[in-house]
Amino acid sequence: MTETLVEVDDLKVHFPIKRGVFLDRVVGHVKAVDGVDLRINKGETYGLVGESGCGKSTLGRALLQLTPPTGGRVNFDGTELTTLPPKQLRSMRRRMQMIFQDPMSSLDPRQNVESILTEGLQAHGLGGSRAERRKIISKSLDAVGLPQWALSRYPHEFSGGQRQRIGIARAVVLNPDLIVADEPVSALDVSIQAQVINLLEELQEELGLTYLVIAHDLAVVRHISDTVGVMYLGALVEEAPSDDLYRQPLHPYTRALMSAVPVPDPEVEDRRERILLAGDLPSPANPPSGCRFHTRCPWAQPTKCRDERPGLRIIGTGTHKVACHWAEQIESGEIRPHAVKAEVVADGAGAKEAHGALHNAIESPGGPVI
Amino acid sequence: MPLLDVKDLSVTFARRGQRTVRAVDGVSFSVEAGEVVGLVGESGCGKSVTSLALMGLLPKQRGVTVGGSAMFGDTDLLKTDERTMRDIRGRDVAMIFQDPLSSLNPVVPIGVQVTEVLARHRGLTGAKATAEAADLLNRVGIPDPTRRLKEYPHQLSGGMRQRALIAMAVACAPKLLIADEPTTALDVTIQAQILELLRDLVRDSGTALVMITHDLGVVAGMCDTVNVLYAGRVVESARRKPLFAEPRHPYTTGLLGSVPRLDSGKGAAARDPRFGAGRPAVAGRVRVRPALRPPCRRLCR
Repeated sequence: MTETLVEVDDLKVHFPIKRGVFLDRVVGHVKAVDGVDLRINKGETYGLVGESGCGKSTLGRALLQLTPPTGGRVNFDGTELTTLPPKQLRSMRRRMQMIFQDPMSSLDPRQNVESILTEGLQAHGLGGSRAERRKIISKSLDAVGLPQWALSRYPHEFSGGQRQRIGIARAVVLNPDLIVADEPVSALDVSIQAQVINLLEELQEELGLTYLVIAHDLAVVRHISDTVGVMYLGALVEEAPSDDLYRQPLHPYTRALMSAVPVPDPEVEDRRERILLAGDLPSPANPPSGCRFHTRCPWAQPTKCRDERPGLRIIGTGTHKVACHWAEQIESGEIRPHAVKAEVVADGAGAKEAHGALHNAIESPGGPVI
Repeated sequence: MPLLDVKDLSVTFARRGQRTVRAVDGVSFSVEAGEVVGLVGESGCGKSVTSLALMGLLPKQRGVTVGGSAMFGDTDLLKTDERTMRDIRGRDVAMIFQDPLSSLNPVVPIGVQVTEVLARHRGLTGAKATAEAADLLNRVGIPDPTRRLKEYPHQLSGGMRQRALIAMAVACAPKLLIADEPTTALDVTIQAQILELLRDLVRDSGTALVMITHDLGVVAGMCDTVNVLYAGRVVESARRKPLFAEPRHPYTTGLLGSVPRLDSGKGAAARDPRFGAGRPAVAGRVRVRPALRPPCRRLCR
């Protein structure tokens, strides 16, 4: 029986939209994460995919309590994190680390590598004497494949891939249980991406790590994940073991997402069916009623999709969960796709401010590059 | 005769007190009318500098030297004077840039930016130009074009901005389009929309397209001919299908092997017999060693 390490229940993160000069009036909320349940088993990798603005980074941060959740529960190895007093939460943080997207902005340019790696150990009172700490640090450098002379160097002296390795070493040095990797490879070239992904896999095997990998690249996620969750506008629309999901995507959004990823093989490219989505992602400040995807869904059916919000439900016997009213009928071909007219995404006052609020909320190293 | 014939293109950047960098080192390729040609490579391989050189957008002074030739009909794009180049740019050869937010003017409405091209090359002004601009936006799939014309770039989403940029590029029905990473800044579903749009435009208008990208998947779905660049040189040039079926250069093999594919599961790359039992990753990174010119630049990797 596999043990659950992280259990997230109905997690919500809403950012207020404020207006006014002197008195900030709250005029609405950006529902970045709106009711997400997920569980991650020990030693496994959970991949979270979605397009920019779907709330995947916010979910990762809320899970680590870096962004305080508005509602819901996060249980980490038997401890409830949302109600944990700050002091205990701080000591808990040793066990859950984060790897950020852009290593250049998440590493302090004025700190050398030794200081970057020591900081965490000192903060948690680990390692005892200086010599012992040095030993731990050099071991983690070895683990991520960096030479020992790197210790006295500064971040700007390294290439992108090496910087990302420093970021990984910083996470690993504390010997954590869980690592949340927010777009760990999207800033890197493909050949370097492969190196970093391989490194993450190796470390997982050696140290028995559990990963939550957040990425927009479906191919990368498939490559390293055991379970994959697909997010759209703040909620999971499909969750399944990696191979199941890619063999048989059931949610219309997942299908469209998969058909949009170019495959480096002309034979495959010429044969595959393309599902093009119309328009852009609706504003999370003013999400569509009912099924969030119904405004762009080529399979949307009148009234039910618009009126009723579907929850995740298990399809078939296994662990494949889908949030779609018509998953079976679409799969069997009973419902045929139809053309969808691109809706002009509301860009009135609300949306613009929502954008501002989002910007303020995620202006941090881990935030997506917009 | 090909539409564009690039021969032995080289670009060097010299700075006082520093070693000269040869960013592009003898690149040759040709583009037939109506053909889609891909230039693929990692960052720093010289693909963007190649496109800038072709468009005459590299500064002529400050230590930048451009060598070789690029015959476009009877004119050599690398040697024409600025005045002729201004006529050619936008009318015969147009460019789509990677980041639409930084290539559009943030303080000028979209409509004015589109009609600028029409006024310069086709002499259209006033209501006629506006009508034509609306028609162009409609063609690239922007809903409600008359309203969008009055809006500023920041009011449009990323995909819409890229569409507006494409509308400006195709305004004069150019014979050659150069697209420098046109979809890199976009999400996959939006990327699929833009690629489909480019495919349609190329098919309907017979425009030739030079597609510059780092994404082998994009190349596999779009290009007729592919040139793989590495450290400023073309290391492999082939038709689309042979290139992917049997890559000849070890760098191409490595590049293909390092791309995690959607249609292969966890750890599948390691099991692929093409890449042996070892890691598919290419070790290290692109090195530009100006002084050192080994017969094969990949020697150090």
